Amino acid sequence: MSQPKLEITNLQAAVEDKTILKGINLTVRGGEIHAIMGPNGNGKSTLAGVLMGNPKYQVCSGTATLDEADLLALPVDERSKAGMFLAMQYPSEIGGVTNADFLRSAVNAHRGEGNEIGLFPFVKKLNQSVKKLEMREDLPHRYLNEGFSGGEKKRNEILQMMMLEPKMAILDEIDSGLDIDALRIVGTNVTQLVKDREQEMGVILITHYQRLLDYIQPDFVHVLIDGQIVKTGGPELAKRLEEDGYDWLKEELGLKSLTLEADTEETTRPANIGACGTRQKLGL
Amino acid sequence: MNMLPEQLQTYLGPDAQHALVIGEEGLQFNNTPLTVNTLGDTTHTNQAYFQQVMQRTVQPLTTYRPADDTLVIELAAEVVVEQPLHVIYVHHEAVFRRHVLFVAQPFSEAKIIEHHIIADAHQPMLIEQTLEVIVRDEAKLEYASFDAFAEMAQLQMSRFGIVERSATLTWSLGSFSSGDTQTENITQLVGAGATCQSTLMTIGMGEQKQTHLVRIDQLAPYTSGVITNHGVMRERSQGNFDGIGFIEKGAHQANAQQESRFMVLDDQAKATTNPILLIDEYDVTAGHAASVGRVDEETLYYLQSRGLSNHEANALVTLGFLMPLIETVSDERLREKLLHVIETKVSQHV
Repeated sequence: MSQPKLEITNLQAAVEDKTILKGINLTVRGGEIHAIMGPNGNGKSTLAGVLMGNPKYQVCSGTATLDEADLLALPVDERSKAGMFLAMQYPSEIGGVTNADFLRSAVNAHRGEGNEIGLFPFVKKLNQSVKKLEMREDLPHRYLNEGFSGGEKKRNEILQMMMLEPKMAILDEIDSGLDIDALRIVGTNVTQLVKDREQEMGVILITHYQRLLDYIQPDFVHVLIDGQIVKTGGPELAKRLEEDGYDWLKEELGLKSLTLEADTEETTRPANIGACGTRQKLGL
Repeated sequence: MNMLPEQLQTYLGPDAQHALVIGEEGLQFNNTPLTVNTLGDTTHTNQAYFQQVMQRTVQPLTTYRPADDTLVIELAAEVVVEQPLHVIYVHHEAVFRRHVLFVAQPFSEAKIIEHHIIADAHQPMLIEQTLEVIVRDEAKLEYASFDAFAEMAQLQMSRFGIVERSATLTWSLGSFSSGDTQTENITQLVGAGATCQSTLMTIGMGEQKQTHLVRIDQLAPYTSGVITNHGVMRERSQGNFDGIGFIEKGAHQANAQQESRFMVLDDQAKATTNPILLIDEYDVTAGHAASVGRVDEETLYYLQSRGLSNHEANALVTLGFLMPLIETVSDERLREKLLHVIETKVSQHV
């Protein structure tokens, strides 16, 4: 049993030529739970997307490795096979593909040709996971996320995580759209899974709210502001953020808030000589 | 009960009970409630009726003439068959032209599954088939036909349906052959309350060209015509759907719906759909939907993030795209067979 290690150094990334991540350094080991908090629009989901390989983002510099695997050099599916998992904020709906078919294809893609999972072990594991997550029993036969409520989609992400047994799971705002019962179910299951797998799985939780952390106790809390991790602490940091917001932290660190920055960003508009210039030129 | 010959039983599965084989050596029956005649052999009354019906149908693709050797397959009045009836064509010759007239007499009910077996898959072949299906008053007929010939076979399928008062005709069609394919499927709802539902699915690959025309003419009141076409175009294939819903003046309370969709997987594949509604009556409901689209980037990313390769993700989405149509096939064994054909087809690497 080995303890995986995700190592991110000086990671910079952009979306549509706008730099979002401005040098992320983070190390996550198996058995650890890291919470990444921060105001909206500061790069939390970008970090998740960049690590998983979302084509929307361009990596500018830095490295990210999971054990020996150079994640940034791998296509999306190879990152998954290397042990990465991302529970998405907005999972896709795919009509005509049942959950069971999809999960079996995914599990088999991980296991490789000639090592496919048997039907019975698969069904057994699927049913157990469905039960643990208190999902509808007909879930395997329903189309992938189609017609699912927000809470069902999030639970389905956790179900996929349970089936795929990744080394490193990123849960991107898994708590948004969850009612308090679903929050408890998701929280206790994630905690249990990390515990059950001993040191074989690390978790990065991306969240706005302290309330998820009532159910999943993080070992580390990181604050991500303006594309950088500006502070790292224990669970007490999350509590302080919940109570006092981010302003004290920005003040302490001498940071302007990003929203403020966006407002004051200089917008240079090219002078419009259009109509006048043309007229002059044409002697009208 | 008559057992099927061993080979056929293997082909059709252990549960198959009724089969009719049309091949080189004529006809073979196995415990089928159908009667088969050539047109020349049927009674004069029947001949007159069939001739009259056949004059209604138009044949832009083929120039056949109903002849004495036209096969007339009949399901007798009030016969209700639960198990599917298999009609199997065995092709030996390089050119196959056949005209078949299928009649479901009043109050009869059955599911027909059409099969084609090619003796030599490596020989170039031309298959031209004209089928006329007559569903008489109050009868219910499901007609399923799926072809999956190799590239050497060129196909021209013309199917016509005549649906009389309060009768129902359901077409389940699948075009999974590798050669160029041209089909037309024209149904006329001639009696009040007649219903036709037509589903067609196809996958295009390689350099293949496919064109499919589905038309339902609603010539009587209270009729319903529903057309659903789904196609997936891969590689450099080209596909076209023409969907035509026609409602005649006086066919009040008629309902005409159609949906034609293509999914295009590769840059060089092409697809077009032409949805047409021709309506000459005020008191009707009608609607159509048509689309030609690619697999959504986000969807692909989502599936790939679970370890599926680009190819596997595409295959899964393709299968999902055709699934709603596969589910309309009522026979479970046929559904499984179909799934297998489609899975094989979508998992083939470029």
